[in-house]
Amino acid sequence: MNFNPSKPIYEQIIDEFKKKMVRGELQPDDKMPSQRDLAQQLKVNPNTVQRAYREMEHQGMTETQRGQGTFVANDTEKIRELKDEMAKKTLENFIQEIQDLGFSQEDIPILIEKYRKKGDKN
Amino acid sequence: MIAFKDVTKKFGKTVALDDVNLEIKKGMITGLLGPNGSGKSTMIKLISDLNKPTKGEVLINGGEISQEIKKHISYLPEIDHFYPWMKIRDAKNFVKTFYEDWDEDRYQELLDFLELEESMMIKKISKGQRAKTKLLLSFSRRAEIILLDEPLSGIDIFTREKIIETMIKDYRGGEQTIVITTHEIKEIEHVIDETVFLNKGAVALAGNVEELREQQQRSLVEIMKEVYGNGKDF
Amino acid sequence: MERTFKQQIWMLYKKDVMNLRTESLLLLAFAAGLNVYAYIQILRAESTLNAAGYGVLSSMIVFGALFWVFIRSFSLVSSEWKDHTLHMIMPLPIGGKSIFFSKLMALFTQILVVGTITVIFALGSATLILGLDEVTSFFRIFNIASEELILGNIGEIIKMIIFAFVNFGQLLVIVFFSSVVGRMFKKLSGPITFVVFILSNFVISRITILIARSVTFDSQAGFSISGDNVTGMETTINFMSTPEYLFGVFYALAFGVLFFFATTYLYDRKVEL
Repeated sequence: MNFNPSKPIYEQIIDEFKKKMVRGELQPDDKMPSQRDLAQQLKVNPNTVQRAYREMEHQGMTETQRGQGTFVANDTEKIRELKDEMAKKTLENFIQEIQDLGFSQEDIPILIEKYRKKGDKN
Repeated sequence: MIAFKDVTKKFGKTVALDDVNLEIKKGMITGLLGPNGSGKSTMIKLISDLNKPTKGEVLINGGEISQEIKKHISYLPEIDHFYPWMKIRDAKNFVKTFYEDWDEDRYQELLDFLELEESMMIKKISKGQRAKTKLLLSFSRRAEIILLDEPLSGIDIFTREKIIETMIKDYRGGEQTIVITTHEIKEIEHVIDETVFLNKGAVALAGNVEELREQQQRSLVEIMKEVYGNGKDF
Repeated sequence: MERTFKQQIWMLYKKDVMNLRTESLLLLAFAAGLNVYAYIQILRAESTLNAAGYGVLSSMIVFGALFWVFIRSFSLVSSEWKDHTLHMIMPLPIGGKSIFFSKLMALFTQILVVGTITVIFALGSATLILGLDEVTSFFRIFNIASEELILGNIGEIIKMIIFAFVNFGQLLVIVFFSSVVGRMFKKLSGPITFVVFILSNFVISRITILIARSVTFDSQAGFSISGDNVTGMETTINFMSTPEYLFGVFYALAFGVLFFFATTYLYDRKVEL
């Protein structure tokens, strides 16, 4: 995993887990990697990983079962929410950048229609 | 917690540290960053009792540095500090005798991980291997405070990664305090909790790295460049 | 706990012995070489080296070796700075007393080993060259058998050995003291060490003489042996009287201890990298 050095690392770790959950790579009730292993794998400070885990639990993404470790929360509603939230974020970024190029709101559906097919072909 | 209270350190007429007040938090990894001559190495040497302050005091857990406190400090110097006749095994036996927190299992594991052999003559191995030997002896102790003076300088990229992995392997957050000086900021910016930028013997900026990134939306390297003007010393 | 402390002292001692090892071996090899050289010289037909000359040469080798050990004792301290090993020693949770005590013991060991072996070299090659009879006769300064000379005066001999050791110890402690004082200065630490060494010895000898003057020793109480030596001349060797001996040992010990604590105080509080 490559980190963006100008954003907090714990946030980037959380984002990575969100993606995995949304894509279904991590299913409800799946066991999360241990904090120690993850820190070692990502080569980041274990304190940072701990912070990310604390935050994810706080947000209801994960649950900790005493003595057994951390698990993905069994909450399909939450995952749908995440999916929606991420789509929103991506689109907002996209719209912002398109507008920065000088296109208007109305151009966007046309542009999408135009390049979506090309994307399909490739 | 390590506290610097009004600490000034002079070497002859040269002022290495100028009235420094700083608290290094317990259980965290703190990076002392700054160009050569900024005083970061002097800070480490004051904590490890190799130097004594000209003015002010350095306190560890509220107390002055004593033999009792030194039992819990592990110091890794920038310079090679082994006796010329020492094999890795000799160095181990030496260190082991003085520190009760020596962990033999961890030593064996790290020896393996760092691809070192006990029978290696420290004087004769490569620079990277010597750097790893120093690390091996530092991290084979379950020390409360680990001081690392430039553990990455002059080391190739693969060895650097190995060194960083060793640092975070089994790191006991919240309990163990690691202080690291370096100018290889990029290598360690993912690893440190707290940063202290030193400039000409004074603290230019100190804070939590994640918070700094959050507030400034910039990388540590960029923040540092601002602190030092152009960062041309890096 | 106490066992660990002993282990720590032992480890420091071992470390210092190891630091001295290579040089001691070289020194012994050199002494052996000189003896062999003398042996070869003497085998040549018209050699000028006779028994007496050989005696002088081999005792010079012994004293030369001991003098070398003394000179190099300075470097047992200063090499900790030069080789950066101080980075290993100063952070240790152990004080200057242990560190300098082990250095002292290591140097005593070196003196004992180097002294004994060079004496064995000297006696050994002398026996080879001159034959056992000549060698024993060399000791027969007096018309007493050499065994008798030694065994009959064993108490006195032990006293002399203790006297020599205490004084050598005091000298080494002053070496430590002056080296540590020298190291308190970034510049000119060598010359400062030298000056402090000379001054300390001067002060000690002045004080000892002052005190000695105020005490009167009964010179007749001295133990002495006299008799005819090999050349037939009447010779007398005077040993120190007991009060003189005790006085000498006491002051050497007292100054040794004083300077030892001064050294460890400076090391613990003042000395830096």
